Order: sequence, then C-alpha cells, then structure tokens
Amino acid sequence: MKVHDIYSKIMNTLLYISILGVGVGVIVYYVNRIFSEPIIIFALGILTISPFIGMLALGYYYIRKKDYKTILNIIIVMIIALLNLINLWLRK
Amino acid sequence: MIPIAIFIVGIFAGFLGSMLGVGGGFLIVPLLVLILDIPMHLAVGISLTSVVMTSVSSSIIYAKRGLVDFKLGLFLETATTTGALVGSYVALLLPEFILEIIFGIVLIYASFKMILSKSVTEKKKTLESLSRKRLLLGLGGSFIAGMASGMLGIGGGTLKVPILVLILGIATKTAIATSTFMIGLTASVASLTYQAHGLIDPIQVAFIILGIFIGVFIGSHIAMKIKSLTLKRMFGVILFFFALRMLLKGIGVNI
Repeated sequence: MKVHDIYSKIMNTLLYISILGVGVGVIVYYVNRIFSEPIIIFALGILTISPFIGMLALGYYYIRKKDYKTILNIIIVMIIALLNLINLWLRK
Repeated sequence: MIPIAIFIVGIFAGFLGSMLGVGGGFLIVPLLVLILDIPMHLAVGISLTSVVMTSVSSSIIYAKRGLVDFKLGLFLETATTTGALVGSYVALLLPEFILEIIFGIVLIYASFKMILSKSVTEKKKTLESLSRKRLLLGLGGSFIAGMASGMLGIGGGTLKVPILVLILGIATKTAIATSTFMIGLTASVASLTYQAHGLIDPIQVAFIILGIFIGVFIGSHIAMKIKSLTLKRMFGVILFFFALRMLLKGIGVNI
C-alpha cells in the first residue's frame, strides 16, 4: 500500500464521520438546538484532531519503511505543534 | 437567512482554497465580519475550523491523485511550526505594522513574479532531488512563513505556495496539494484552542463546514483540469490582493 492510499483512507474515514456528525447536528438543530450543539462539537473535535491522526498514520507508514529522517521530521513537527498548543492555551 | 449566507461563504472559500492551496482565512474573516456582521472573535474561530476542513478534504482528494509530497511537506513543516512558535514571542517585541509592511512588499513582489511568469515546472521534483542550497533556502523561507503566521495570525497557504514554487521550483499542482496538507496541522492547533475556550458558535461552524465540503469537491476537480500556468497566475492575483491588504493595514488603511 502506498503512503497516499494509507493517508487518504484514514483521513477519508475521519472526514466522513465528522461530516455525518455535522449533518445530523444541523438536522437536529431545527428540532432542538440544545441537543444539536454537543453532536456538532463532537464532530468538530474529530475534524480538528484529524491532521494529528493523519501524521500518526504517516509515522506508522515511514516506520515500516524504515525512513528514519522522515520519522524524525514527524516527531519534531508533533512536539512543536504540542508546544504551540500549550503556548496558545496559556495565552488565551 | 444567516446560516444560508454562511453556507454560501463556505462553498466559495472551499472552492478557492482547494483550487489554490490556501486555507481561505483571509477571505472568510472579512466576509463574515463585514457582510454578515459576525463578531470578530467568532469569525476567527469559524475561519480556523474552516481552514482545517479545507485542508483535510482537499488533501484527501490530492493525495488520492498522488500529488501531495508528504516527505517534502513534513520536512518544511518542521521549520514552519518552529517559526510559528518563535513568531508568537517575537511579536511581543516587534510592532505589528512593521511586519505587515515588510511582508506586504515581499508578497507583492512574489505575486508579480507568479503573474508574469511565462513557464511552469512540470517535472516532478522530490526532496532527494533538490540541491542543498535550495533546501536551505526553502527551510529558511518556511521558518519566516511560520513566523509570519505566528506574529500576524495569518494562515500559511499564501506564503507556502510561493516558497514551494518560486524557491524550490516544485510543480504548481504539487505545491498546491502539498500546501493544503501542511496548513491543516497549523490551523488545527489554533482551532483546538478556540474550541476549548468556547470561542466558536457550533451552529455557524456547522453550516460553513457543509459549504466547504461542497466547495472543495468542485474546486479540487476544476484545479485538476486547469493548466498549471493559469493556476499559477490565478494564485498570483489572489496573493497580490492579500499582500496589498496587508501593506495597507501596515500603513494604517484598513479595508
């Protein structure tokens, strides 16, 4: 399996789960707004963390390929993204 | 009425974002604030989640076609994320208007270079085939692009595509595809913070997300059919307006 296939399959699954959640949330919104918000927030959460899951999938692929330079890049990106998250979190 | 208008903004942003490899934040925020009268902090929250959506859905389509260069994207992303982190601290020392003027001028130059170009690279270049000098320049450019996004709160796409095309000499379509993959991670970090602090309206975000889903589908399929040179020039035009707005904001004219 190629890297593009692994990435697109995982991301596609996550995208469709979140789109389904958002779609259901919008339909529920017209019936009861209070119930719709948690559904949408859950779906948005999945969507927002999906780039990180995509990175983990890429990491898994490159570990199997023993491409250590790319694995190192993934680790660096993930650590700095986490530091960025903490940085933004503390500032808000 | 407003949910439908937000849905239409989403279609437009998704269409343009996926076609040109940008998040579309520079387009979504003014449209939501100026036309739909949505408060600025909510517009930024909506915009950030929208950028993640544009990035995720377009990168899937481009990845299926084998256009995303993951290795190159990950290599450059190390510099971009570091730049964003450094930029958020440097922003406390440097006045924002100076940065806006500098970046405005540099991006106007880059936009003219893209608009006036007569040829495009169609040959596929990989991380391994690029010279050390080009890679260092690309890494430096990505670091500066990351700093700009950390300092000015702008997305990466408008800066990443010119770096990939003009500095690294990557084919326009590959550059656009790789850029859509790269911007997702940066935007998701900021979006998570907004969501955790309750700075988004889930209903408004839901409508824009559904709009983007449709817009991305149309935009990425059209991008495949357009000639690379046309795409490069189109990006140049969008970049010019973005840079002009930044420059004017730097000298005190808000549009």
